Amino acid sequence: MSEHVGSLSIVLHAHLPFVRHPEYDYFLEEDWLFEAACETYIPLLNMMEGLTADGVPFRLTMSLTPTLLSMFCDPLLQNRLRRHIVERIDLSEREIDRTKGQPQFQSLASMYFQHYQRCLEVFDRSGGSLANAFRLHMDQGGLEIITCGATHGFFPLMAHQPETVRAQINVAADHYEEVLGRRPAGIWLPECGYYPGHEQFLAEAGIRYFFIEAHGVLFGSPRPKFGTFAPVLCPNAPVAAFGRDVESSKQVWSAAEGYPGDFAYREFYRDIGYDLDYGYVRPYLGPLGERKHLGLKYYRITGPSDSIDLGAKEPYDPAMARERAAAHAANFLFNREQQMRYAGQVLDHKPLVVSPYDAELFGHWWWEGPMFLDFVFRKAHFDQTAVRVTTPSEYLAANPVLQKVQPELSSWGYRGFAEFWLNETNDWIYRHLHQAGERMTHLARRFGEPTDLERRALNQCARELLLAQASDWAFILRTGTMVEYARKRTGDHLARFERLFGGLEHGGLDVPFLEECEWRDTIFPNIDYRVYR
Amino acid sequence: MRTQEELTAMSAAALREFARELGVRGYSRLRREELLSACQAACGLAASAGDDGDDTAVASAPAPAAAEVAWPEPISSPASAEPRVLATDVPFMFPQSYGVDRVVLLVRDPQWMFCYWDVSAETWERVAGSGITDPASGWRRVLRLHDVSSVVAGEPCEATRVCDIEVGPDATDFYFQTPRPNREYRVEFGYLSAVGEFIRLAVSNVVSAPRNAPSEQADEAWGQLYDDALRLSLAGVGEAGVASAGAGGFPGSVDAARGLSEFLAERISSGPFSAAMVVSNRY
Repeated sequence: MSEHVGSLSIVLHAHLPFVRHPEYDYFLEEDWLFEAACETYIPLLNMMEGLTADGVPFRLTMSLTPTLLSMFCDPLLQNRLRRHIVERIDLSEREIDRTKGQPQFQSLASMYFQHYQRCLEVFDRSGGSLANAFRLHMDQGGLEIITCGATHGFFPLMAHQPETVRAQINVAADHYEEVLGRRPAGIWLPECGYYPGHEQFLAEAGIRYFFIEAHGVLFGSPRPKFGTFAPVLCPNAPVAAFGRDVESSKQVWSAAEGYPGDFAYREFYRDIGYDLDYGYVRPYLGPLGERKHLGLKYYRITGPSDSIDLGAKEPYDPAMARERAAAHAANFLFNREQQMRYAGQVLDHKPLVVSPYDAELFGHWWWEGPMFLDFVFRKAHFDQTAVRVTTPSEYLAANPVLQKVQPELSSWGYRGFAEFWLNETNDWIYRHLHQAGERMTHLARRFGEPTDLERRALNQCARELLLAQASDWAFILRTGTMVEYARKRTGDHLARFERLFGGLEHGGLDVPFLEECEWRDTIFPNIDYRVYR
Repeated sequence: MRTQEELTAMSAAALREFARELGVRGYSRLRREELLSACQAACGLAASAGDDGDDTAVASAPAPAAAEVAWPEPISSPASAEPRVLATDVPFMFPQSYGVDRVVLLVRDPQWMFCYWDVSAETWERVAGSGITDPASGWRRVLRLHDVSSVVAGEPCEATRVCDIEVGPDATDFYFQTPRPNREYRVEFGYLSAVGEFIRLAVSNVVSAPRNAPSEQADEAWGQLYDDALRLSLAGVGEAGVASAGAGGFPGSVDAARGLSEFLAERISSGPFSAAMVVSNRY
């Protein structure tokens, strides 16, 4: 046991914006949740279940953002997720028939058939809420679930309105407790966006650690003795900051040099939703009938994207991909060991390597990702002793003495700061968000003893503000795809906020309007607007 | 064929497989109870009481919504193929002005800051009345940037002024190149006369531009983070926290720090900006 050279903490940030449209039977953007559930969340649950069954003591940290948890718990979306899974089962079944006489493809269709059947089982067993399934693994000790900003607001661009940052944190922590039955120990700051001083709000909410981009700690003051290889303690609040390890991130993320681009892995962009006859896939395309990804993909990456045409891809070979995932897992652990030995020598300290990723990379984009993680945990347990897997809480319990360092403003976004959320494509939204933030704070202070109706309107104002603040909208405005949706969501929530604000401020609340807002934007049913005081 | 008991004992997955073998249409959509009655029907067994009427419906042609019959309807949903017209769908106009005097300064990165401003109609009226909005008056509309790092309460004054930037009459926001990282800044919006008089219409919040290099400070202090049930307090830091370089059993010498800075430099060069890959893949 004592021969380990360092610890590894793998962190998956699972997040989707709150997308729920009761006014439609089908809504394209709701697919984000359904695809991520079938391709990432359920496969990760399967992985944890398998590891537990085989007695492998894994250690995984996941942020399940409050928006995601809310969607897990929402009956309408549960219903629709189930419908989605059932449609996929049906589709893969038809694919088994269609591919008769093409054994290579038929076995892939069977793979998807089994996959989606398994999804349905996991879903039904969880009682419809995947939150229950994740909670089970948390209670068993292998999984540490942390929280995030209530709606993934980007804190550095809210910093001059501390009440709004505090509300994002407190609403998140309270919601976590409602759903998971305890207070969160840690938080993934939305987009890893840290602004100096926010640790005070974390401490107030009982949160003891957060994660920070590498330069956020490397440029901290005084200089961190161990770089990102140990958490640091914020000098002004009892909160620890874990720096992101850049090397291990790159190994997984980079499209060119990272694992997911391996030629044996499944090609994301060859999907039967685009490949097959329109009439055949039409029943699965929703009322609009636009071609889209249906999740059944039969080809592998095959070769470099600049020399292999999408049409020239070779069929996917699951056995070959599986072997590659095992090899990559071994390589990942080997590299961590080398890294830890080197850092340990230089720093005279047993290093901790913190490797955070977007959860949706695993499975959704990188089909073999959950399999890779499964191999990492199995190999870490059976094949070696140098690298010990851990969680931040476990690490802190064993290493309570930390260097005091004031971290620096940073994010894990493009160029490491706020540029992706603040540029010519999206800078215009902030004056509107800030205006609503100021009005919300004003309302919370003004209404000491509201009537029941006023209270409902105040709470709904808080929901609308939070939903408008989601960093996802600014993010989408910058990426340039589905811009209209992001623009509309920002505007819709602000419009609902303004209308309710007007009713509260000048009297004459429009009750049917309020009811409609409550019917549409159901997030945080137990929110208390006084969180903005 | 199976007996009633065998069927009842089967798992959902086994039932689904069996239903498939039996050629039950739409079996993949069915929940366990539905599968059970469909299989019972196909095997000529009596379905559980009360289910008789459902057998044919289930076994013949379940609509895509069949599963939802068994799954509880979530809420009273007016959803239909066509969305109904909703009062909450009124588009937001994103007003040009909120009628308040305000400048907000935001940090984008160590090199850039962004500010936007808003001025109320009353203030404009007052300003226009004084004649200074007339270009012929010689007054110019400016943003005045202050470095307030060393000023108590961040109150800007002549000594903190860094520069004045003229802005056009239609401009409502501006990106500043940050003069120096790791400093505190504040912006005033107002009018500047030819002889240097300044009239402020609004002043911004204070922001700190982040450091973009390792800190000059290498002294170490240590503290203890310990778990007191779920809440943490920093008890003990008072004693341990004053330990500085080399003290308290923590090897922390200037030499070690120097070794580290090389190590850090190497990591930083390969470092933060590779995060670009993270965002390009998200949606």
